[in-house]
Amino acid sequence: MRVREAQKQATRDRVVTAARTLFETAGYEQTTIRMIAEQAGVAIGSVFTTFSGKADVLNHILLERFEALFDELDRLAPHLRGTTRERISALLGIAYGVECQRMGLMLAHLAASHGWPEEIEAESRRRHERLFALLRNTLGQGVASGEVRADADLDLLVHMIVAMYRGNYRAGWYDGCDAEALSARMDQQLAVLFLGLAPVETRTAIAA
Amino acid sequence: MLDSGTSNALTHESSFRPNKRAQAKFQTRCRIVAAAEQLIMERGFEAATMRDIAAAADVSTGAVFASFTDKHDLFEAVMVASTEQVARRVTAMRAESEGPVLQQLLDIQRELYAFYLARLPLVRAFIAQMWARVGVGELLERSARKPARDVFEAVLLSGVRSGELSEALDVEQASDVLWDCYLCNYRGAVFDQWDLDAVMARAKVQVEQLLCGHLRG
Repeated sequence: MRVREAQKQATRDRVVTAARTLFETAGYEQTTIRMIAEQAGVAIGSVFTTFSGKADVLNHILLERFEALFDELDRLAPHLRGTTRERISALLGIAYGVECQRMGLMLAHLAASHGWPEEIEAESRRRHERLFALLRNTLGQGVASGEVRADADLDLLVHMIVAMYRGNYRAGWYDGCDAEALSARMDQQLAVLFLGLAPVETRTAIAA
Repeated sequence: MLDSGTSNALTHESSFRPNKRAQAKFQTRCRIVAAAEQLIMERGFEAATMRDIAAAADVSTGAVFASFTDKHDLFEAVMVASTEQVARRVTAMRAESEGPVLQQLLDIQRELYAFYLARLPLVRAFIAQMWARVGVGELLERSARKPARDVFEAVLLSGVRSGELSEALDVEQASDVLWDCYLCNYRGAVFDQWDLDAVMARAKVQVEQLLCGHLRG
């Protein structure tokens, strides 16, 4: 029994490694299960005993990747200085820096993320909860410090910020922007958003 | 036989004489695009094969490939055709509307959502293709994303001009943010069974949040 489990794990690892390479080089859409199987040196059938499909493999790869990124963000967050907006900008800048090194995988994630099965969407949301919580907490600190108005809908803001963050990969992809350029865009977009987040008294002062 | 390129300087009638073969090809193309949209709607992008699309359009597979390089090319035509439909409505709305920027943006988004929520398989395929290959993505960018995003930008610009919105507003970035938020709401429709009202409720708070710091007076 243990031997079979070990074999299954070995197959799983080879599939993951092969898929990672192929998603990165050939792209998610172009990569087929057959290609993954060939690259991994396993039978097509064995791919399906370890994963339910291509989206499942991608999800697994991303799971590892995002866990590492979120660990890093959690580690760095307490050391960040500056305004709430600057801290959020810094966090997402770090994310861009990391993800742009494996742009193909991020693009695969974005491509797959509207078409994958519900279980994988549920898994993906669970996985991202750490990032959402970090952003929510940072915004919450902004409320506590008076930078962000008390009645701000933090969940709404987190979702908007994540939508903006993901959307910028499009510029990275089409316009060849690097991580720094994406960070700069994000910063400008956060500026637009944050003007509406200042407590009312402060805002009238800014507008004057 | 008349040379179809001859221009008649005496009349303003177009020198273009509809060539029967060109017409036939155009009609075939339309049938193929319609069949492709139908099949993608029914089965999703991956499962709608060129062979099945050809059969549904009542043409040979060869005829499909004579008009379209590949499935991405055909899908782009599907998106262009659908965008044209909704663009006409949106343009008509824009010409008539004079209300506050917020309302204009929401009215436009409602029009877009009403159209595309009934065509979610197309939306899903569009999002997937957007990231596929540089060439493919850029075509879709032009044919599907840009028209909507540019309308958002036009409304914002008119808001700045009319004094409703602050001149300091970064219209370019704000338009991109509007588009990203607009697009992300489809996720709710795909995975959380949001209907039009639910999507619009979300869109409303997003647009309000984005604009509230820039409204003058």
